[in-house]
Amino acid sequence: MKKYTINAKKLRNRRSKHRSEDKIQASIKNGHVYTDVEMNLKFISDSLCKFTGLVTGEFETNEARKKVGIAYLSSMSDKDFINKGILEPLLSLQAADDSYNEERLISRIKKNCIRTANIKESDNFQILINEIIGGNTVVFIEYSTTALCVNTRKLEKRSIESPQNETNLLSSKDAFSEDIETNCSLLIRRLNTKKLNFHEISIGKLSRTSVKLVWVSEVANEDLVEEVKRRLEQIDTDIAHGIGQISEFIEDRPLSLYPKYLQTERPDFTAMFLSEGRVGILCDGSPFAMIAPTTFWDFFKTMDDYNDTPISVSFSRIVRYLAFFISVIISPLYLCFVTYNHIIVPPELALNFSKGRENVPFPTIVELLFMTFMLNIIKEAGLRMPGTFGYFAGTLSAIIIGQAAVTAGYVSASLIIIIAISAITSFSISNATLVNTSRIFNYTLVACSSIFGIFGLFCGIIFIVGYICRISSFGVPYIYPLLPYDASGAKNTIIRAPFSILRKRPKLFSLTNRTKIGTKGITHKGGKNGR
Amino acid sequence: MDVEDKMLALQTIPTVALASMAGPGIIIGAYLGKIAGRSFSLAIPAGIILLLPLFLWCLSLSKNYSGKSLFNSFEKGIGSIFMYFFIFTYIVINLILSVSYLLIFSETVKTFFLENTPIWAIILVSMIVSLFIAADGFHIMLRAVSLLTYSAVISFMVIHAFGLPEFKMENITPIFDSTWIQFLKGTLFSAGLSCEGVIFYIAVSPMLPKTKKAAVYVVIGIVGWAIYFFIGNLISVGVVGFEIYVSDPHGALSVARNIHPFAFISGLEIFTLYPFVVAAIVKTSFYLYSSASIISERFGRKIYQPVIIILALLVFAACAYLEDFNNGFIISTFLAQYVLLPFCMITLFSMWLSDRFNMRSAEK
Repeated sequence: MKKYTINAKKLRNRRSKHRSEDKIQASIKNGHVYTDVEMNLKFISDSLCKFTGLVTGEFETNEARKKVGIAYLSSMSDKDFINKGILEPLLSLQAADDSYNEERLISRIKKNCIRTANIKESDNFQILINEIIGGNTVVFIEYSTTALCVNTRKLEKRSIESPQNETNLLSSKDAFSEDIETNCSLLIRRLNTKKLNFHEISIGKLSRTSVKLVWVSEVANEDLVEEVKRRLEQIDTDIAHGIGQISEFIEDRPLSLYPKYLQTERPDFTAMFLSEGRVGILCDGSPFAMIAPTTFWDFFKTMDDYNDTPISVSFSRIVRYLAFFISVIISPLYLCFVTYNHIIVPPELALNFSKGRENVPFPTIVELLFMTFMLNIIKEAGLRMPGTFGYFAGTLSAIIIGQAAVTAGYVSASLIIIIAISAITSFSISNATLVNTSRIFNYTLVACSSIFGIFGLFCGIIFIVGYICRISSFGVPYIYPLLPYDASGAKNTIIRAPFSILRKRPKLFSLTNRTKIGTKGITHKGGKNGR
Repeated sequence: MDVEDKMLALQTIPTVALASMAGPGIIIGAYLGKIAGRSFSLAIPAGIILLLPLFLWCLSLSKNYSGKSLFNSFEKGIGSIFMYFFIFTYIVINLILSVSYLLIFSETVKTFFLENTPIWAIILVSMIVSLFIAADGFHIMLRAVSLLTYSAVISFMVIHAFGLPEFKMENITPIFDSTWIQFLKGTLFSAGLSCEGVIFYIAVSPMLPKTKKAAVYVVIGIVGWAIYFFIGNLISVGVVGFEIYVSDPHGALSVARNIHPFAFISGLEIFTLYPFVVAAIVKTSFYLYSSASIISERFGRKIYQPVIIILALLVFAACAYLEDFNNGFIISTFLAQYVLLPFCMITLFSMWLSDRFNMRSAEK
């Protein structure tokens, strides 16, 4: 009984606490700025009492004899600027005729006193509190029911570094960082035109993450831009972790095996796609940009493709496509050879295979699945472990699995070779998301081959082709511009034709402004007469 | 028709024309040798080219029926009873073709690659993949078919290229060593085998763009298939000899198994199997799509997917019941010799007649 009373007491305390918090929330919602600076600061202090680093201060100007109050979060604001750009000029505010006219006074402070152009006015506490949380400084003036919000946001951020995941030989060495403004500046540097548009949306009821939709007007399809805007605005979530999460919210079929958006950390790559008529999405706190719509071929492109000779690039691309194909197909093909269709291997090779498998106690499918799975585990371990430990894990596994397992007779040497080829070829794909997809398809084809041999493998391949044909990214078919065929884009898919031929933007990305490269300055025949 | 639709339809026409004709003929094509004698490799392209007017007739009739099937012409013309009669016959022919092709194909796969697997399992897998490709409608199916056709053609080219070193000129000569009657019979049989293309076009031609370019693309597809099929058969005969080629019911697969270039390469039949699998799946998708789209056009677009599944089950049940290469072979040759060409000609003629009635009644 006693216990119950204590609990009830606690409950009552909690309720009263909640009630007072609710009161504060309600007053924040409806609250307007008071004429008294002290009351304003108290209100701010009460509302943000749980925030560490809240600084409030009340001062009196030297000549004008006006009380001013400021409030900011020390962890998110530029303290130097607050002292030199706001406090110093405010304290030395001169007395003038307008000293008793608050509107004129505020206007004078904005124009002549505070040393920044980025100042907003507000009389609503809800807005003011949000501004403080966002890193801005709020200035209250005595007798004025309007407060000033000065942009003093300054967060600790990484400097611009070179790309970690998309290393290129012949392209620029800068990558996006976590700061959205820096990322925007990197894009502006590359697309220095007024046609470059940014549309800012705040996503996340708790995180209020700044997300920016970027596109080049008159180039990008306006319907697409509107559609992406609509989808972004419909996102209803508490927290936006990063660009991957936002992409999943806005894509057509989140359960698709293939990635339907391209994540890149390269500003030059993003600018190139934007100039083709696609749209980009930047998210504060994420060092990646999302490109939409995306096609299958985009995952095999790198920025080096646009800085090297067409023949060399075309060769590299064909190598990448072949690598993807081999990574998916080689282990199921081996399974077909060993399990069902021995006759399709040259006799010497078949003998080698069977000699290697002599002492292996498991059926090939078990051996293959086990080794493929082990390889995925090693890859994950190498990725998640810190630097040197990652290399150590890789080497150790290579020695144990590569040598010891074969010597002990658990697996055959030929299988190790096949698995290694499959893994290495998958790494030559330029996009990390597609590497994972290739692994999933590899497992699928292994399953098909284990049941129906080479016939099952072919059926699996046809199934995958059928699957790719069903996918679309923001209404654009996944295998566009090869199917539906668009000559202007198709020459930049499996191969990369010379720029003099790639003069037009693909139709489905840019409906109106299709000319990308003019004929001026192109002296060779392909330029003048090329389509 | 939006930009994407126009682009898609135009560029896929040649491959679709090609794929629509690659029916059981690619496996039992060698049977033509028994009908036409040594001139069969010439009768093959002659028969295919003979179908050109039918394809073009189909396209010209479809001008008034954009987005609808050609069977709509009957409704206002000679009456809906005729329409339902032709639709019923059309669907039955499609289903029988599907059954016969799957029987021939599955037995071939069983003989060469999966000796211990039951035929019904091979048919079931082929049916599931075909359903997957045809289930989402016209555009997605055509996209997949185009990609698969290109890959199958490349695969066939590989085997033909490897076959060239073992090609002997004396195996194909004398190429004209048959009578006119034999050649004519062979040509008609070839036309009958490839007539499946016209049957497919009766269902889909109204969905293709009504431009001269589209007609040109159709011609390219048909002529391309004629040349390709001709060269393929010629190389096969050149590698193994006329008598052996004609006596083997599995045609190209047996030839591919006998090709061993550079002594250390073997197992090239997988390059022939791939086009066979593609053709079987693509053709089954076409048969199912043609039938289901016409039924759903009559009774509501929403029932397309349930109908296609029911049709697939029917075909599977029939295949599981017959379960024999010989049955498939007999049905297929019977249809090619006596049914397909006459049916196409009668149907197209009736449609044309119906159109005339329509136009006259509109003028009055």
